[in-house]
Amino acid sequence: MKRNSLITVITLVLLCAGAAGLYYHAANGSHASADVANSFTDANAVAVQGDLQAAIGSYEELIEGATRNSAVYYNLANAQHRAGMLGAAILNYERAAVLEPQATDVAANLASARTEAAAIEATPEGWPAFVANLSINNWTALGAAALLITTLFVAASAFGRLAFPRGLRNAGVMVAVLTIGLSVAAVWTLARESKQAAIVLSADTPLRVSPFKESKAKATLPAGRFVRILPNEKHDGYQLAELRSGEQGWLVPGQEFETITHE
Amino acid sequence: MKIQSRLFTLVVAWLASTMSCSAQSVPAVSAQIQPSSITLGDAARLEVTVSGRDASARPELPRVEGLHFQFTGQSSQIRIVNGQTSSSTSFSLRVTAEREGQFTIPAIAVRSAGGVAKTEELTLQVTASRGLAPSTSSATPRAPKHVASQDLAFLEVQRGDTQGREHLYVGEMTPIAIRAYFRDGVQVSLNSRPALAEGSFTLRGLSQEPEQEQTTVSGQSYRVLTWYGGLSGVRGGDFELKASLDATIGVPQKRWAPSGRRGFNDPFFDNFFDDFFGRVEQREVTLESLALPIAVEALPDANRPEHFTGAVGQFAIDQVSIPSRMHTGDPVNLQVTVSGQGNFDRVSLPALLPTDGWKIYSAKDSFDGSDSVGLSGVKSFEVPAIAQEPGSREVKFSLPYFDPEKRDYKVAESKAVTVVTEGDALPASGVGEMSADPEDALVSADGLAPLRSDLGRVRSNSTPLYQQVWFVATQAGTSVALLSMVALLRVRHHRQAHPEQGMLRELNKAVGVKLARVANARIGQDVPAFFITGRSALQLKLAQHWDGRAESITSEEVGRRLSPEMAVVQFFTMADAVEFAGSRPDPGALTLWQDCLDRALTEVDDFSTADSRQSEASTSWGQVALPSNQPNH
Repeated sequence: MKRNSLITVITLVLLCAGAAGLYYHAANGSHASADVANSFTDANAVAVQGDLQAAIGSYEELIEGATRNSAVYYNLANAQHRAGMLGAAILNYERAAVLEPQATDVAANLASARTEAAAIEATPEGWPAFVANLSINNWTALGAAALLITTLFVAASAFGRLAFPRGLRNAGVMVAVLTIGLSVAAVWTLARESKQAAIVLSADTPLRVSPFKESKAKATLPAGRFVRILPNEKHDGYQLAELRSGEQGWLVPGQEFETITHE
Repeated sequence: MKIQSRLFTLVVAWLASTMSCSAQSVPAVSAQIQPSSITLGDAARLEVTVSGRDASARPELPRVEGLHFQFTGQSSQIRIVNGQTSSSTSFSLRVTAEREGQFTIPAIAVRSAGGVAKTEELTLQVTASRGLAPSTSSATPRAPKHVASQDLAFLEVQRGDTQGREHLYVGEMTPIAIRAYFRDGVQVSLNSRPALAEGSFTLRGLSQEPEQEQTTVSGQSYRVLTWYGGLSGVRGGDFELKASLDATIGVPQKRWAPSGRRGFNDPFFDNFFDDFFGRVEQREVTLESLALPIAVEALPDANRPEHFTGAVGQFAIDQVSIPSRMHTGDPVNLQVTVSGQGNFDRVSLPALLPTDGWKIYSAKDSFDGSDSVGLSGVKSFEVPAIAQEPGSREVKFSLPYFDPEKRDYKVAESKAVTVVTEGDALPASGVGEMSADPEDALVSADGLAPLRSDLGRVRSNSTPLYQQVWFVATQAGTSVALLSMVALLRVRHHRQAHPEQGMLRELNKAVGVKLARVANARIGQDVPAFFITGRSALQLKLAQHWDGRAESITSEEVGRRLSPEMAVVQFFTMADAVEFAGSRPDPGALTLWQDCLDRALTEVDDFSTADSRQSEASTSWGQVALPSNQPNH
């Protein structure tokens, strides 16, 4: 390899690493400030001492202060779980799982809380399960990094006169296109899911056949049950919802549920 | 005159009919509701049909106290009968009721460009009785009793055998069959798989596709769809298990036939035409099974083993893989396989005994079921572990479970393996309330993974990355840059593959510059510059055609190769005369010479066309040399 080509390749690799780092930083945030870290440590200490309500309040203050972090949601859920607030615990375990899908402690405690709440859900399979391996931001960053790296290599070909073997070039183009396409599809899937996914917070929530008071209940949902809220399907305060099984019914006005995506 | 009068009448009649058709008229509308009687909780279908092609026609949703209308779709039909075309649009609405009673749906207004039309009033009867899900005994699946012969469809749940035991234990998995019966002749479309209406049970491994068979119930032939699954109770108590299934059934309606018509009273004839011309009434139904009482007993507290995690059934530990030599601090992979029958979803990693002196990480597991429900099979675990204490000791895996048949707790154990561990003892890690490493999901005293102490990375913005303005702008810019560069590379590649096109472009550009100078010379009446530059332009064009250098094309060669009458020869001759013999034509005649030059250029272009027809590839553009610094006098 000629010296100029070697310099170009090294420059490209450095630029790619920088871009990947930038997108990782954008997707996952930065290290917490000292104030936030101290508040988190204090809340943990309160939880360990057994004052669960005080710990829950401290974690919620952190979240209200715009701290979006899986550890805070997880510890909040853990405290709620121990305090017997199973619906809220499941909601916050789900929020932690959205930010950090691969966390084994979140998955283990979520399964435990669902079992205790009698709100066991079917495990997603196929494409939804594959997509759930990364957070929406990490899928976005992956697609963006693939696009940027492709652009840099094409720029090297166009202006740096860097010639790649035909087979390598075709394989690279194919990998880049597949990665970008996969990321776009995954982000689309997760975005659609995040707009509708919610957790029932009220205990014994009836799921009615029709949006009327005298209508029969198809099922009674325990707190912590996953429902998909169907947008634009409301009637006199009743909200149409869908279970993971695909079964639909109307949630009664006054019954609490909260979307997993935390605005 | 008579003929003319008739012709006039015909023309007037045709014009009148055409005008009446083209004018916007109020469309004909009709409405029907099916079925006209429903049970509370079911839905009826209201269809409003608007004839004509007016795309703006829309029915207004009626308001009836106690009824709820939901628009579900629209369809259009075009019919051609004997050359006459008619079209109509049907709007479908789902009607549900909030109470029993007889409801009158008022005339529905349909607004269109031609005006407002109204349908007739309709009546809907809502009853409390169950018309489609008859009472049936769930204990007799193949031939339910008390089934009325007019029942079209019903659903039932059958529980698996628990060897005479009436109750289930919490977590115990038992097979169930959910059967949907549809009477022969009823068209069926399933809208969902069966679901349980009781939150105190979980249903696992429900078959994706039902088994299908024919059976006879109370003398009626039924098609039976059967789903199998595993049922388990999640809490103790007396419960009623119900299943439901959403389906659309099509019920053939008898065709009306005049009784006096001969041959049509024949039963065969009636059936034949009912099949072909009979209307099928579509009904969306939710089939519900009768309640199946099930008692679920909590697991006894007495004798509950220390490491019990909720496994209920009969299990055995078949295989283990534990290295016989280890070093403290070095991770090793342990493997263990559990087989048997029961709720494998609650079978977690068997405990490694003795428990002290180990750091156990999260296990990976896989299940290989030997039946469709997942009630029996083999579950394999693979878990990383680190020995923390040196020495020699016997270790084994232990799985406590509850045996519902023996009604007691049992412990499945593997064979003991002697493990020799070398190295120094490691400090005990915090099996306490906090864990810094999320992977280090050690179980605390209450069975939960502990709190995290490491905050990690924090985001202050909850807006997803793909919705942030800076990110979208960056991606748009990158995409535009990428597409531009790809286009640039393609253009470059094309030019490299077709160099002759580039040469031709440059040549035409050079000729264009020359002709512009010729025009300037003509306007400035600079006779020498006019002729010399014009000749130079012709030389360039001829060189392109004759495969030579432009400067080397002389009047002598032109005269030799072309006919003297041609404008090219005339222009070359005059240009030589102007340059070498000092001839000075009248500047006023330059316009004529401009015409001559134009003709000459056209002639040369014609050579090229003729030449390219003979041999497209023969032109060697690469040898064309452009004149450099051609002096203009």
